[in-house]
Amino acid sequence: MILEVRSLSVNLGKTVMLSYQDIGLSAGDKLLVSGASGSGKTTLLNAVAGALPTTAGQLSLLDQPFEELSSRQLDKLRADHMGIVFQQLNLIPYLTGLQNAALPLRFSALRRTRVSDPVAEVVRLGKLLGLTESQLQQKANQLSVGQQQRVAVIRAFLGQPELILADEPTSALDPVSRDRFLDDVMALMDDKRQALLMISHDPAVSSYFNQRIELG
Amino acid sequence: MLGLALTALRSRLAISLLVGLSICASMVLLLSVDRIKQAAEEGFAQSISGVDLLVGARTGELDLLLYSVFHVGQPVSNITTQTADDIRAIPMVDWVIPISLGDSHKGYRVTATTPDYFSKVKLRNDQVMSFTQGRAFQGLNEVVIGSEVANALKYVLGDKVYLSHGTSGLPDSAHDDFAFEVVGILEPTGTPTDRVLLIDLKGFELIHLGWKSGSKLMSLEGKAVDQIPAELLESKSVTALYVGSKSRLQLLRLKRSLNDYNQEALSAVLPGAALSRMWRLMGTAENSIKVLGWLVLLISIVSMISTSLASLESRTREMTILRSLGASPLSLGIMVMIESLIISVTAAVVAVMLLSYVSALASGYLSSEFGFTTTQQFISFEEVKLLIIIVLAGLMSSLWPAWRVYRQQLTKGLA
Repeated sequence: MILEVRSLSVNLGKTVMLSYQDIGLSAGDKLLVSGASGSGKTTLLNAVAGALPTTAGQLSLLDQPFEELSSRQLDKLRADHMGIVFQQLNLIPYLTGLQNAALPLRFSALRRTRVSDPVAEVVRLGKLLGLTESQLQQKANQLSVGQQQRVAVIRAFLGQPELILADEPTSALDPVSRDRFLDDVMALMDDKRQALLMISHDPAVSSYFNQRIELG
Repeated sequence: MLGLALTALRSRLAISLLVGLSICASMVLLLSVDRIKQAAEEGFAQSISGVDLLVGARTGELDLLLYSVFHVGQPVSNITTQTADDIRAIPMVDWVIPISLGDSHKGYRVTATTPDYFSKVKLRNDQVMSFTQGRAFQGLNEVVIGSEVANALKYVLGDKVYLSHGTSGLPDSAHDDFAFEVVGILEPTGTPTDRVLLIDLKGFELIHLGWKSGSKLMSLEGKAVDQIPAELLESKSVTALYVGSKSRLQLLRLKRSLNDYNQEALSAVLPGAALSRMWRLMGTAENSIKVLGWLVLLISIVSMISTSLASLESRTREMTILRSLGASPLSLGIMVMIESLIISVTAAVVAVMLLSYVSALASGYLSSEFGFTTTQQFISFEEVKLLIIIVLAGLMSSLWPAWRVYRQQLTKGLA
């Protein structure tokens, strides 16, 4: 099991308590979490990323329960085994696309061992996602929103982390770009190794996923 | 982290440069103040050297120093030439240079002395006085002027100079019946010598022939000076004596014996010790300048903190991205500290280079205009210590922004 969520509750402030149904993701699973605004989609993603303390329940990644890990160990777990794509503003503006994409290798020795030639690997993944090498050499703030999202996807997948988290990555894209983007992401998925948890309020994307949760 | 910190700094080049520039400017100010202070102190301490004792009529140590070296204030009384001769005859004494004060020229004091003055009295690192132009006086009607006098009054060799009786400079107190010819202009020294006119004692006596109680009763005009009997030109009294001893080991004994001289009430002073005491009295001014320099540095460091904090607000997203990739809060805090360290160290290196370059360029000007001889070494050990303190202060200043980064929740930017 890559990700296991059991009886999870998160306390937001003094009055709001969010409870989630159980989730279990294995290699090859693609879970879509949808729901109305304020239903707790991003809160769930933050909790799964280890960025938010949980109130009750259990969260574990690769059989490592979060509550047994220090914040430093959680940082390491995130660096080694998670790739995260945000809704927007995914990249550090002063770095090139290539430098942004290769950032995880600075923080994870494990992912470094999986990539023998980082530049070649980024370029290879870029080609799969329709990005040229010259585009990857440009500063992040010179790339279009769609190109930036693709660089963020390369970064999330580089070094094959077991869990990919994506927070509404298609919300800023038009339907054609959205479908192309999701086709590309799904093509990058290594079904023998990786699981995907994506948040989206767009019902049109549900066909890409083999598991779905609707938060109320 | 170093590579990332460098790239982050490059991305904020303008603001980083401005912060670095302000720190660099404050470092240059502090180091300059220190160097100028050092040069001024050295100049002050070497206002007179080669002279082992100053001897004058019984008065306070500082009074004697002020009027005999700095030409400030008035001597309480003169000492007789008989006393000068007695001192000259003491076996421990090597030489005696008498000086007479009292006259002036356009605000500058006149010192009457003997030609030996130029070989015995030394300035700055025991160097004998040297001339920009001309030579020492040899005749009754010759005058040597300090560099400041020459610059301010635009005097050149051959110019005629009339002295005034006393320091008031009033028209009726002019020695306008006898002209001195400028025969030498001294090199700038940064000592009171730059501001004096030096004449022969005999010339001094000459222009005071016919003066009684501050009034001129007889004019030298039309008189054949070379026919004036020599004994009339011999001084009966002088203001002070510069004394050189045969052995420094006997200096204290000599000083004691002069203070105990029973024919006349004398004060004998060790000039080096008196100068040090006087410099300490002026320490308040030195400290004020230093405090000013530190205040400028403090403002620069505060500006570095505020710039770091302000930029952190705009860097929340950047920090969140790095945190989401597994960067620990500690490593991001260290990154912010490295950025501050790079700015402070670069500012320190540029400050030292700038200071050395400017020192080398300005040394001629400082020497000729102010008589400061700046230290030519690249950087002194004391300056290195000062720079380390400043760089550490810069590093400490980054602790607050670094702490803010450390405390920042990952969730603040994830949403």
